Amino acid sequence: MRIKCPYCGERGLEEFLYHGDATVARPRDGGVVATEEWTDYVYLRENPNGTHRELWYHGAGCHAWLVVTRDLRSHEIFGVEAARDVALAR
Amino acid sequence: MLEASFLHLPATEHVELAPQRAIVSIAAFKNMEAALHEAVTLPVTPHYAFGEDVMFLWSGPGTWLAVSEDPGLEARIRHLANGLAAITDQSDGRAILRVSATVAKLQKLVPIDLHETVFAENATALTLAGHIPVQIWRTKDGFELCCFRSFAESLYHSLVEACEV
Amino acid sequence: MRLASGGVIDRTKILNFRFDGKTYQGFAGDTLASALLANDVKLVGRSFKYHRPRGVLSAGSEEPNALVELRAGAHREPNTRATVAELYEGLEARSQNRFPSLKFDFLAVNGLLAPVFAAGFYYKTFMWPASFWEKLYEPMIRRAAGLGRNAGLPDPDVYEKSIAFCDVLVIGGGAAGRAAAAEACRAGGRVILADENAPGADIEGVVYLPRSTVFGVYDGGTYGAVERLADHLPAAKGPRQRFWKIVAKRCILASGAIERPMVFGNNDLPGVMLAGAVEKYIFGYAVSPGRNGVIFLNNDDAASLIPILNGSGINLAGIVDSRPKSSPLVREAALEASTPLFAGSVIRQALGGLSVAGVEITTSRGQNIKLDCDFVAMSGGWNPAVHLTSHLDGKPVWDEKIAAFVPGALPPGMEVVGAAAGLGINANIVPLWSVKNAGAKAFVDFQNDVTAADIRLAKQEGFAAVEHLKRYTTLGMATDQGKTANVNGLALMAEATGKTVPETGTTRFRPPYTPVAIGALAGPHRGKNFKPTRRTPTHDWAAGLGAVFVETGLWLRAQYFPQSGEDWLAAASREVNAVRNGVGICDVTTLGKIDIQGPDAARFLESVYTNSWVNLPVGRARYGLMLREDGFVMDDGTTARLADNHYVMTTTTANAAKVFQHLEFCHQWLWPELDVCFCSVTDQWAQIAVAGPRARDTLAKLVDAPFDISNAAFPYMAAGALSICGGTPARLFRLSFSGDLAYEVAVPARYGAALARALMEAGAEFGITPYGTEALGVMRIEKGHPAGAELNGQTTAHDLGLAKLLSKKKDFVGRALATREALTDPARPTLIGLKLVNAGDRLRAGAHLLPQNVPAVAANDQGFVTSVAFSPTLGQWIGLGLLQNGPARLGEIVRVYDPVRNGDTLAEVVSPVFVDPEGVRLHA
Repeated sequence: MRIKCPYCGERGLEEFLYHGDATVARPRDGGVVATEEWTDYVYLRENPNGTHRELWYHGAGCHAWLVVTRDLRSHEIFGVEAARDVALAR
Repeated sequence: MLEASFLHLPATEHVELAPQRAIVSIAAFKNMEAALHEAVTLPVTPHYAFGEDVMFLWSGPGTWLAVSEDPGLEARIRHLANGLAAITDQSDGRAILRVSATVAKLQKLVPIDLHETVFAENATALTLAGHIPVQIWRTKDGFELCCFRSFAESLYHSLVEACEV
Repeated sequence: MRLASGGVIDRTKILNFRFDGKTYQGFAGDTLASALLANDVKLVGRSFKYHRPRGVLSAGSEEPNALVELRAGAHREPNTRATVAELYEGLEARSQNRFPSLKFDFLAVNGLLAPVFAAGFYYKTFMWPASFWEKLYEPMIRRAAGLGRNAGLPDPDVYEKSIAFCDVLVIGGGAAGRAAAAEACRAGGRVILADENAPGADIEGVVYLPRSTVFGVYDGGTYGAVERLADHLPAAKGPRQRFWKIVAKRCILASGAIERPMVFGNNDLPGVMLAGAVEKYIFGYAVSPGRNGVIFLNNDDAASLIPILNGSGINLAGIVDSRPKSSPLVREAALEASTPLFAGSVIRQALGGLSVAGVEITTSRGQNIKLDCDFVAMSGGWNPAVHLTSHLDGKPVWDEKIAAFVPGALPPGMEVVGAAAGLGINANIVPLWSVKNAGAKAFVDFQNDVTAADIRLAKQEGFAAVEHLKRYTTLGMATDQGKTANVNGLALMAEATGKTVPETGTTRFRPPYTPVAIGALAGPHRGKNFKPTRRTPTHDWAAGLGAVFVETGLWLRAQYFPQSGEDWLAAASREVNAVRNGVGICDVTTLGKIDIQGPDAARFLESVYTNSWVNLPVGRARYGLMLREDGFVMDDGTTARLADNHYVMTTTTANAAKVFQHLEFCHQWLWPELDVCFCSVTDQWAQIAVAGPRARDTLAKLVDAPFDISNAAFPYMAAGALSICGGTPARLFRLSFSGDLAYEVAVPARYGAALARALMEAGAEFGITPYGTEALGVMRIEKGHPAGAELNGQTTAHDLGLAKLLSKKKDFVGRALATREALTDPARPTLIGLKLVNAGDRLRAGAHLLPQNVPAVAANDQGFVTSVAFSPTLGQWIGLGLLQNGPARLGEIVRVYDPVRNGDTLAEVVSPVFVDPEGVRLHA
């Protein structure tokens, strides 16, 4: 697979590390207690038969974290955004 | 002063250790990039540019490497940046190898397209050489590859094997 | 036999080669197969299961029969297709799968037991008794079956890897491929042409890769190929093969088509060949498989062979056309060649012993006619080579008109041209999937010995789905992946089930298209070059002192410094004593060092560490614990505050990269509003630990005035920048991993070696001793400091006795899930120390902890020993362990059970801090 890093351009998979689901959000209640929201955040994941948004790390490149929109069946990538931009827009 | 000792890697026909230079990492603080650009001309795309005797290489979003023969580089950059960026000396943290081989030889190690139409002069990239993370840039005579100092010997051996065939 | 003229061979270059010990001659340009056929060698192997005599079937990489062992010694490679092996001077080849010889093979008796060895026999036999399977049946089956012998020695060849980028990759250098490459080049753009065969003419402007097989199509327009640089030479002077990763914007597949055999009785006799192959041997190599042939066809394509045979002076005994009225083209060609044509007829079976001697034909009127012949050219039609179109989930579609699968959905960026697209093949075909009442074994898959009867059997036994058919009969497996078998096989299954071919479908083709040597995938990354090696700034200095090094991840670290006659234990013990009684130095450069700057640096540390950081003053360091979000311990380290907004974090050596990645994740994704920057400075600073009661005295000699390192001015956990040795910039941290009075001195890496020498000189009067990771480990175990073995990803802060570091006032990574009952339960295995009841015994890490006087079974397992060391301070082996409810059981005697290494002893549960529990030495 090749991923188009918005900073570096298209690169091979060997430069990236896959982290996981980008659609789950860390609860903002300070984490005093392990609520169901917290355990869901850490353990529960959707496995859609189609397009998904994922977090990848350009570890052997510019060290940017990226949100990749990808079809999990065909591996076609529809978009790559800087995770920081996605996070700031939340 | 303690005695300084540097890496010793014998030059081959196509591969040699670049002479020791000052290297400084510049990382813009939040919302300071615009102000920083007013103080120093820094490339915003993966390229390098010269400002007097200093080469400024793009090194990631909001990050640059400054390279110069001036041993007082860190102080100069700190002064220029004036609190707008994190400044970290990397003169001992990195090593630079010079390669004067063909693109075909380097493509045995470097997984990005180094063809002159795609990776022209003044281009730089953060990528791998074999299994070693490097920053590579094109010069008039070939390429320079910058890696963490502790990888230099392994990188040197890989480059020699690839280029001196 | 060799024809007097013709062929693209160089008759001036005679090559000598050996096959099964006998010497033959061929010409430059021959393959091993063409040279063997030229010498009338028809018998080249024995089949996989039945050990039937086999000859060359094809002229390409689809060959299922002529598998030989090439070369000798460590270079020996089994299962080489003789049809693609280029002949060279001195080539040595041996047939496979036969004993004692090709001509007389004992295991041919398998043919007599054929009913027992039908498809799926291993699922029905060798079942009982179960215990016999491992000891008798499996070794027996392995000896009897199997394709070729591995050399069993390390691959001595050198392999290269490279990447290439292009606008258009053309796969296949036949007419269609060459035309496509030339056109793509004219249109501008970078073009690569890859072809399996030996080099043909160059095409200007095109990067031409001959002897190269594109074996796989991968995501993102990436293709894998292997270029054979030296397999056609007696010996490789450079790399043997080159593995290519090709990234192409577009791909044109011009892979041609592969011919189908006809399925009739004894169609596997040596001398029965594909018609297209016969044509190729005559044209390409001036070789005829015999002197008197019969053609068996169901389409017009093989008609071209008729005038070729005729023109080469080879007799054609007859043409058997299964189509009821044959076709105008074939009738005319038969007439021109004065050859009898049997329309609407079939070859029921071939006749012969070690090679074909004749055929039995059943005519349209039901007559049985025998014809003598010494070769048969069969053409069941052509299959477009669509394999690469389906590597990425593409499905070929059945084209009823040409009775073949053609490309269906294609991988992105790929188009198909020529015969591979189904163009110009199978003219006027009327498919004949098998001859009925063959009266002898009729082979569908030659490599796996699967017959038409096996397919009917599979259907009978309920394995009618095409994926089941493959696994039950092994049709389509092994080195040729069914290239000449798959379509015949599934068409026969379709007939048996009354379905159409498209309804039956095909199995999925996966990479690699042809076998790829593992050496090619490894390239230069093998042996010492498997991964890079990282050396510390004091490496050469340590080597000069005789240090023995150990691999810690990618780093080489000095493990111990043996003096004459010492083993590792003696050296480490001496080093520990030297530190605890005097002073020692140890290079700790490898621990990750991360420079952290910015107005929000402290807030950031609060978020990633469990404990508090906002109140850490400038000039101080603090131990930090880092959790994963699931509440388990990820890493630990010390972080020092050098200025208001400037910190340096350390991590363990093993987790340096992982922690850096984690910090970037937290900053870019979780808390992007924080103003903070990170920079790895692990390599920038050489860092040396100076430990022992005389550490301050030693350092005092190096520190430049007016810096004050007295206990008052520079207490435990102080940190700061200074200069040493007359102006060398340095950083000093009063940290102790050893538990003794200790410091860590950091200088820019260029001064690292000199610093080590300066410290040795300054500490000489105190008996200063270099120590390595072994002694480092002994001392931290004596002090009960958790390290890698305890930070194993399964322990929590509570488990390690660090619960007090979990702040109750702020959010941090892992806070919520660390509160889970199951993670704070004191009954969990928790950190304790272990002191042997019998001081002379040995403790081993990994041993299990059980109560005394209960059976040693898993149900009674209460924990295990994580780290052990021989403590010279205590004069015995000690250990750290995780024991259920550990801290509440101090003083209890537990059983240390180690069945794997025959250990079974008793130990007292003690505090993990064996030495100086009050920390007096630390604060000296």
